[in-house]
Amino acid sequence: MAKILLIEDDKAVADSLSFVLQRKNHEITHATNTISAKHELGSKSFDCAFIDVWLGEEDGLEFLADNGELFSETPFIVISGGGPGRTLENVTARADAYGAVRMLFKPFEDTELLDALSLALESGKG
Amino acid sequence: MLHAINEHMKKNGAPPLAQADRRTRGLALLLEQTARLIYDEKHPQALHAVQWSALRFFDRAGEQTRTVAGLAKYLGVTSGPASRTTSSLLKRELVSVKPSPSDSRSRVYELTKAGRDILAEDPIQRVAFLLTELPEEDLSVLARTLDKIYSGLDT
Repeated sequence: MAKILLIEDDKAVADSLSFVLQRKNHEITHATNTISAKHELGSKSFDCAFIDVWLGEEDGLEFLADNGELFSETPFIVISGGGPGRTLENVTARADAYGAVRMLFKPFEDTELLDALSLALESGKG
Repeated sequence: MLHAINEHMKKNGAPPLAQADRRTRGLALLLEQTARLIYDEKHPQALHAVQWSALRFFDRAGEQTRTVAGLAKYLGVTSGPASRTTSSLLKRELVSVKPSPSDSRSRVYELTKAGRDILAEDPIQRVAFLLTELPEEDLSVLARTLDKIYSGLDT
């Protein structure tokens, strides 16, 4: 069982991801914004984090860039379906440059999600 | 800071080169020359940068997104240019196409062996390899710096 932080503002997406991950007996903590995510990362340890790029008005990758120390022990996977201002190609490059274990393009299959998680858990971080 | 520069340039136009700080102008030129060196193959069969982008996308995207619409979203273009790029890769047999198992109206693309072989020679790998020699701290600074420059130019 892995402890997973899910940073996602869309409740439907969060519920869907949680359902798949919990079915594999993983423990999910859900943060809907960067303030909540920062609080969770500062008070608990996680084996992996999933972070959506567009969190309402917030940029999840900006959060990663500004808070690298919070993720020093936690591998993270970036999720995006595209959004305002940046191309998905640019978002992917940024996610890679900030150290994401994998980038998932929405919509994705359950197997892609679980494969990415396996990769993160094997990454040596955490 | 870039926002302030953009606002200034919107109002007053770009400053003459002579007025720009010599050091930052040198850095800007180095950045531009470095980018130009990445795709240095000049022969008629050489892939264009957008074709490399499409190959990278089809290599890493999942089955639900490996479509023309998915590529258009990835590149930030309309379906016309994405379709033309995909057709050019099909013509060169670097990708193949099949009906989507989940949506019969949609067609899913994937790399052929030739596509995977050519992607193994992706010119971006040369740059990535050179960057592996930088210490972690420099990589972090470079990521933030390039992100800021891109953001400033893209607004």
